[in-house]
Amino acid sequence: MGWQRKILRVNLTEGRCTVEPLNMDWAFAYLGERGLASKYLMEGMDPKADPMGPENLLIFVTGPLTGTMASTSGRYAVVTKGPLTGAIACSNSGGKFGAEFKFAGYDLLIFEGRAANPVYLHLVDDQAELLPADEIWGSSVWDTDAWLKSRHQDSRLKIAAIGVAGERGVRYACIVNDLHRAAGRSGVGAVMGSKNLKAIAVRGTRGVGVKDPKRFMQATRDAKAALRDNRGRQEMTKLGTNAMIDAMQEFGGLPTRNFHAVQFEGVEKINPRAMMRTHVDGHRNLVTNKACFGCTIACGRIAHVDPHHFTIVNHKEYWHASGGLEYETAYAFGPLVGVDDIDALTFAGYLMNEHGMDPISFGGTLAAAMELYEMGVITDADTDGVALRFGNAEALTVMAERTGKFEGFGQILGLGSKRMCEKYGHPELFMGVKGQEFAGYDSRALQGMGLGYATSNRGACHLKHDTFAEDMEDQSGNGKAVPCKESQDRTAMVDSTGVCLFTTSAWGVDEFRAQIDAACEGEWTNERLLEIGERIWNLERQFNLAAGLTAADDTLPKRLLEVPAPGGVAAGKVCELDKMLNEYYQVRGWTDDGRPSNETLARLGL
Amino acid sequence: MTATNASTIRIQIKATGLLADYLPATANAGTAEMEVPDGATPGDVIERLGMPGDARYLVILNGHTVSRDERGTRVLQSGDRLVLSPPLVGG
Repeated sequence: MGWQRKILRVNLTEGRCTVEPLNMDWAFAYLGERGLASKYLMEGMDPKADPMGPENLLIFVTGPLTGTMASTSGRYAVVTKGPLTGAIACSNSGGKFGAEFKFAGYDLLIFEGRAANPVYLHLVDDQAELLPADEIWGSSVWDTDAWLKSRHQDSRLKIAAIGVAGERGVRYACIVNDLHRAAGRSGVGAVMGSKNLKAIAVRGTRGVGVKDPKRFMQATRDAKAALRDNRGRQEMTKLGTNAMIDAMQEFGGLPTRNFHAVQFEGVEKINPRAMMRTHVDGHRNLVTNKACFGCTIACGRIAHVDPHHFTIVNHKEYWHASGGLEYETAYAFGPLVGVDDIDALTFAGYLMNEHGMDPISFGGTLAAAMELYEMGVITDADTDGVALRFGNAEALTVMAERTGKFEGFGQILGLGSKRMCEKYGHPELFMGVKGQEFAGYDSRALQGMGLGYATSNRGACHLKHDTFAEDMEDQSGNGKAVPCKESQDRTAMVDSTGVCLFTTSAWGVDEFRAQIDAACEGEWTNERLLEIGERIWNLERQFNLAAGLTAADDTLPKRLLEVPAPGGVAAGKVCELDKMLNEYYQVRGWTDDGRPSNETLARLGL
Repeated sequence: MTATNASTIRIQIKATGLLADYLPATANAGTAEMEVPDGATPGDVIERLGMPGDARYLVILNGHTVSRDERGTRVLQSGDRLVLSPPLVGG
């Protein structure tokens, strides 16, 4: 009920698939998705293992609500040790793939070892087979998707795949499912490539049972009504997440040109208004919005690149509609690199999906490369003759393709910003935490975001906490530790249910509890759910500490700690991390050096 | 500093997201000039525009945030630039 109570363990070294029962003690203690897979990871590998080595586990996992009638029930996660960060990686994705492997009957797919030759997993309900992927090794995600559907004569296969970037170990390579959704961050695609695993193609024809169907119908209906009536949700449906760019511009929290500025003069050319503008020739960037499985929000965008644009004028293969700009892509390919050409941004976004790369990390790495170039540290001789200046749209699109194909200077960009900056002797130009590049929020303006970035277990991440309300109200570091900790626990819980984080625009813990209590065996209270969130957070921290990370890694670059914001509402401010961090450790029940205390571990059963 | 008549002042207002739909018809790219009564506050402007009351709006006046407490008391001046944003949902 909720869970399928089954996992598929795939030993790639031996080429063997076995079915095991789900550990229900762990399911009750960690719920599903992020939490449950983190427990399997912690128990199944040495946290010190090489992320690109055969000892790393690669886990695809759903939540108990995945595939049910709950709104946004299409979510799954990929959990592993991240090659970008050396920390625990939990990358969340939507689309249809997660619901499909839940329908096939599995809560988790666990990949171990390394295949001797490229393979893919073909999974149809009970039938699991590892098949040769020689013909698609070297292909893009999109070509792989088409090949698999043709090979198996089934257009309804749901496919998660890597491109050449994942095969060649680009540190922020991602796993793309359903052509333009992704388990995006921390290099989970590179782990898949290191195992010689090209793709997973799945069909599932079973349903998902729930404990109390009548009560579940009522709970999901009430929750959908709350979403329907919520104005935050309406913003996402009509404008997409890129609506954030106008707010961040006005606020002065929009990282521009590798965090040299906090506002970008080109915003009107790349914001939702620009996406919806119809040109005299009839071209419009935005085609429509798009939803994942079971979703009643539909924040996704589908776009067209102008066929006359320099990027695709001679490339008919890109004249079709495809995934359009969401906020992080617009930020990373727009202000962060100084580019205001909406078609260049959109096309570079296509390339991220085609080749399987994280746009946030690619943009962050390119921004650092542009700064190195403008400093004269690297020159045209290094960059294949492409002028990596801030604002150069061609640099964005050419380098996106080079990196996706692992060619030329793309091989250097594929290191990620931290390793690239260290290579060129300028580590201070890396804008991120624990090796992972920042999202589109400058933490001199959003102080609580700075604490969230510094303490997120997967490296710099904007999704693991929520202090937006506090950061809008108060631009100091005061009073941020408690809301940061509480929202981290709540978010860890939401990430473990199988529904989308964006439901939190309307849903509080009550709505999650009502749906989980109707779906899953056992008695579920708000307290139990929030305790699960706290348990997950501490488990992830334990993994990272065992992997060798310390409190010294809970920090931010000097540019944010020492260089005042040049404008916006926080003009003249730096990020007050030192003020927030010690209080945060105390609130967490951790020691002064950032380790969960024995009391905290005992209370959480860790 | 000029007022168009003794009892109104002119301000510039920018609204982001779907709040831009509440601006006067003269608005362009989410920005409009508005005349408001002398002594008006940001809270008065929100009400005047017919925007749903929501304490979680982000309110920025001349580049500085206006806290929730101040929205009903901070008096606008002629030439002020007022920004209104809906509550942020991150992504």
